[in-house]
Amino acid sequence: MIAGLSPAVIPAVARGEITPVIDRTLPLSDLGWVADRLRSGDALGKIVLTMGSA
Amino acid sequence: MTATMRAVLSGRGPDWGIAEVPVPEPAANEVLIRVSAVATNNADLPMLREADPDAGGHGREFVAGYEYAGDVVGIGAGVTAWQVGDLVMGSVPSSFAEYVVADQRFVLPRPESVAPEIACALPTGLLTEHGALTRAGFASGQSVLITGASSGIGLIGVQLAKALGASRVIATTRSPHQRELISSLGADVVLDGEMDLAGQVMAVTDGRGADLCPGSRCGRGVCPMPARGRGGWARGQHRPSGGPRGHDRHRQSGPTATSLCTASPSGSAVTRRWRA
Repeated sequence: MIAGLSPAVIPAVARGEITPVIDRTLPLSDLGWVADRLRSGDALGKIVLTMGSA
Repeated sequence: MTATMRAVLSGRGPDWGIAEVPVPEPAANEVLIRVSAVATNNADLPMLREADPDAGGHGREFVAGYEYAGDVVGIGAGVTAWQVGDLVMGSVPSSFAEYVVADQRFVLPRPESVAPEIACALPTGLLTEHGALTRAGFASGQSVLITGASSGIGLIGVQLAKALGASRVIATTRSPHQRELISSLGADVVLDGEMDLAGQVMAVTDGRGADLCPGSRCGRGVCPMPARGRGGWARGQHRPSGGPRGHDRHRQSGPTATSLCTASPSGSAVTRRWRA
């Protein structure tokens, strides 16, 4: 499946031609807010959590 | 590497919780990925709900999530596609953790120019939309109809179709306030999803219809095009007077719902695969 991803796709991503819509970006410590936000139906795009792994 | 990691668990109640769990080890053909950022996916909330023991769910704990971006920090036996240090992204169960393992085939390269907190929101959209376009027989130069364009996946579909050389991207949305955004991402026309879509599409294509409607949407039953024999878009009507045009099988059989929607079963299978 992945092997079928066109060779043209990743370069287009690299050039910034394909970007996601992100509702909000939060640290993992703000996890408690995420499910409520999703349940509200108000999120415009994805919610991103940064993991801050050591 | 530490032996345990922070992870987001489902199965404890109505909300996710953070716990220390063992770092997974890559089996044969798997890579171990250090996760920098993760993104929510439409499957996350249903999975959380189905696991909630307080609401009749199964109560089995598991690491939540699918979409991630990070870098490869370990490889299992037989891995040939990746090396430690490679920047990656993807969609795989249990990604909401500091580390995740994934089959080497299901990992995507992450361009250095795309930060993890952006890249993590791309994989499902890229895979779904690319799968749908491919299975619908997309070729550069065709016009593409993207319904539900204001959804997270639809917004990527508009950009992807444009980036891969669609001659024209016709988008629909039921959200008037999203029209500007959809246009800014590359849609040439944005139609009102609440109105007669078939009529609108015909009106903006001189009665020819779009060349393709990527199947994931048809498969979800929101394709605007009527089924065979229902209404004015049935096979054989609106047949181009110029006759068949080479490889373009959709135009050969008429720019109709009937032919375009035949792509839907495979397209929706792609969608299900990457959301399930």
